[in-house]
Amino acid sequence: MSAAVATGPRTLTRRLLPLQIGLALQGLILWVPIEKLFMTDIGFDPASVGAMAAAYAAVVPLLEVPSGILADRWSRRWVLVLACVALMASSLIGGLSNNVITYVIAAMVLGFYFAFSSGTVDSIVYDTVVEETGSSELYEKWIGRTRAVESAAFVLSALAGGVLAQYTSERFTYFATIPLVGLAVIGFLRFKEPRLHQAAERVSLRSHVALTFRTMITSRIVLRVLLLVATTGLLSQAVFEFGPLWLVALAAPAVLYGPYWAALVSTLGVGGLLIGKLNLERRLLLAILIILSLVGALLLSWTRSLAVLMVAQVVLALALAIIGIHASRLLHDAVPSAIRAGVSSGGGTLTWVLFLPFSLAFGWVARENGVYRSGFMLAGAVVVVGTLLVVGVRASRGVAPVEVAATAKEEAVEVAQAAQELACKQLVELVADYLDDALSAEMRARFEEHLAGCDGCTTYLSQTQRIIAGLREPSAAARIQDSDWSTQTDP
Amino acid sequence: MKISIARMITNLAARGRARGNRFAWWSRWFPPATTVDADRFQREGEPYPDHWKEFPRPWPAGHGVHAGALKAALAALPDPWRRVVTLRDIEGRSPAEVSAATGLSAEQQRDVLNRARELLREHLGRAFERDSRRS
Repeated sequence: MSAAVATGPRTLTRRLLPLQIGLALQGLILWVPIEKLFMTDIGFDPASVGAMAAAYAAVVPLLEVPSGILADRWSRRWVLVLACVALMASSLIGGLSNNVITYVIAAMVLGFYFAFSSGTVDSIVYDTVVEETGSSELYEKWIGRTRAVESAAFVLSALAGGVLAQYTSERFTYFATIPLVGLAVIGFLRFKEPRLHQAAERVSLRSHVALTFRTMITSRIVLRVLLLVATTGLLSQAVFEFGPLWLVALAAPAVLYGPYWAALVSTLGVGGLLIGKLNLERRLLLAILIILSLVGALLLSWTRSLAVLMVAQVVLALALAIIGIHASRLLHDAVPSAIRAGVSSGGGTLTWVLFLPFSLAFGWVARENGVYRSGFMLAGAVVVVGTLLVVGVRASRGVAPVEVAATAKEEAVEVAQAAQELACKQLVELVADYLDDALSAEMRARFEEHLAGCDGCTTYLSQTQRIIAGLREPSAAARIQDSDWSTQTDP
Repeated sequence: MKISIARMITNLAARGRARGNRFAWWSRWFPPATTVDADRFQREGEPYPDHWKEFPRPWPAGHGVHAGALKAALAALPDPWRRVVTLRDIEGRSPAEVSAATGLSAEQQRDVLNRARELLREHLGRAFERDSRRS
């Protein structure tokens, strides 16, 4: 019983399996670790790498809204299949490229893959969990498992891609990716898509934009934390995007790119493991993290040793991963739950907006003065992050972290207890518990007290009871009327 | 790819510290799923926050619940929900029996029932409305 409750019913496990297999296969993009090496071979310089990254930063957020609409109106599963098709097309065009222009086209096609896959998986998992268990309680557990599968695939593909490039050719890793992603399509097609579309409905950006925006610009604490989230995101994006340029500058062999990239990717998971063990409210620890990132960034400008360079990047990425999680929690604690989703996607957009000029400038400086000199830009960004972190932490001190209810029912009970009364929005979450006699005596009393004074909820309850009666014995339903629900609840 | 990975850091979910999954922070934060669309209730700042914006419209008294409409509404439910509704509400089985058959705890069954009955109620409400317009 307890095992069933921990991960949900067996049908949920079985149902999500093809999705997870598909995502694992889709994560095996073998060319990622050696991409910068290949790009340099076909004529990219740091400035064009920067320009390409800036083009992404402009295009992906633009595509995200239409892809979200497509996923809601049409089918999320097919949007994932489209993402796979874009990834295969991009790998093919990329693998066939001999010059900068064709590769930029491949990168644009890859932009479709990002836009189609970003957020789609999260919503699918969310809706599947609700459809199988009736609440979103197990969402976090299952999205965590899904991410673990994906990250394992990233690490595996990093190692395999480096080896493959060393023993065959860089170009071959692009072509070898295509059949793997093709298999992912089969996994997605075998997945039974949820028919509910709750996740998107609830976080619909439109309805939240005004309130979200107002909160973001009127609260200085929120604004500061938002900037922290965006700058940290920008920095780790920069490490992942430009980090390999240092290896290219030092003419590292292709086989090294695999373990290097695997280490970089795994900092994301390791950061998640560490954050549970670290107390970032402690100033000493924060100072160590900031100093570590600063040393890492500065080493990138000075060292000519390949080993030191890779360690510095991994340390920087790890520190940024930890700071990033911490920053998101500060943001989470700083805004009310109703607009949290909107504010966190605001943070995502702000990251892109900042990343665009940053990558253009980074690429330009790297071309004019060498990639070492542009390393100072990373150090500068670390200083900004450090300052915001110190100020942000001070501001949030004394604010108790918010524990958010995992389900609407839990939330309803908490709200009702805090307010000493039950409102309609909370009552409708508790109807099945009321009819099953599963409410506490106190909540039951509140429930009935509310019903006595609220025509809307009285109608709601009696209609629900008419449904139940109609299901059990269609002819009996006629006897129940909206006005006399109370006579029907007596045993 | 690089961007999408770094992106996850900004899109993370940092829900409660206690129940946090160590990988879940990579993901998007979603509010808990509600039974009735949150737009049906007044928001913060309106006269009665969390109360109905508009009361559910009463159904005509004396009418039975349309068997046909109910059937159509049942068919529109997601399969796992229809299974629970069939066992609990139509066949009248006990929560323990349904747990054994589906693996859902009694609590989860109530979560499913609450949402499924709301969908049925919505569906039937629309059927009554169509009827009243026709007559």
